[in-house]
Amino acid sequence: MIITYLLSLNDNIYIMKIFGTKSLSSLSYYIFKSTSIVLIAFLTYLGYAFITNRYTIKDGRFDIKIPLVESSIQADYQFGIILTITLILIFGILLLHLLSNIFKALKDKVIFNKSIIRNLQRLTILNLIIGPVIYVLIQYPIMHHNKLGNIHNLILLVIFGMISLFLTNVFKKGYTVQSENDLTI
Amino acid sequence: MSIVVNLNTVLAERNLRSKELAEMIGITEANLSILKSGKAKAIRFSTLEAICKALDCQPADILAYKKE
Repeated sequence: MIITYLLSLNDNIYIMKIFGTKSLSSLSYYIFKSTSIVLIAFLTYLGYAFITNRYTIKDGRFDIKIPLVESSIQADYQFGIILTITLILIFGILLLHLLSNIFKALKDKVIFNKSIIRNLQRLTILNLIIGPVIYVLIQYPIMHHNKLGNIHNLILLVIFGMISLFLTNVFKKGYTVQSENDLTI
Repeated sequence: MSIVVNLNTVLAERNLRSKELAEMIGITEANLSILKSGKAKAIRFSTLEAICKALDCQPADILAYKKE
């Protein structure tokens, strides 16, 4: 239904609007924003459940019932595992928050703006520095693995980071051209 | 920038106000202000033509090159 609505925009010519209000950017903004809020709520609930002892332990595994949905989260009851889950959730929240900010900036009339450059720079730092640091922390000091496991995650982070690095510079160039165009009388 | 816009001088010689010139050449007062203050990055030939036509002058009367 949403897709049909988006397709029917632009004076009923069936072209999907990518930027601006009531566009794919707008829809993506709401999706990423709400997902990040759900993740924040989930992380808060996990912390609350551990602090208030709202969990059961069976065969060395903890079990936390998730309210409203007939489901539960289970994992080995070890500090390393809990810390890994927390770090991954924090990384996910930051990633989704930055993506939602980028799509929010794409809702503007002028897409070459400072907000998108700032958020793309943060996304680059998150993927090229913070992500690999979290990966190394999880692999060695936290989980004490002897070999590199799940290396594809690290490769994906670097690829994603490189793409956002190039996008940042493309938007910087675009911002310069836009400014010059705006100051052409 | 080493290009100087002498629009204020020409306007004073013609006893014209910025608002009147903006209306004559069809640009906003804000844009004319940007042009006069030297903050503009470029000027379109069509704008220059309209200014020269409205003020009955040559481009050299409005624009000058000044060594920095």
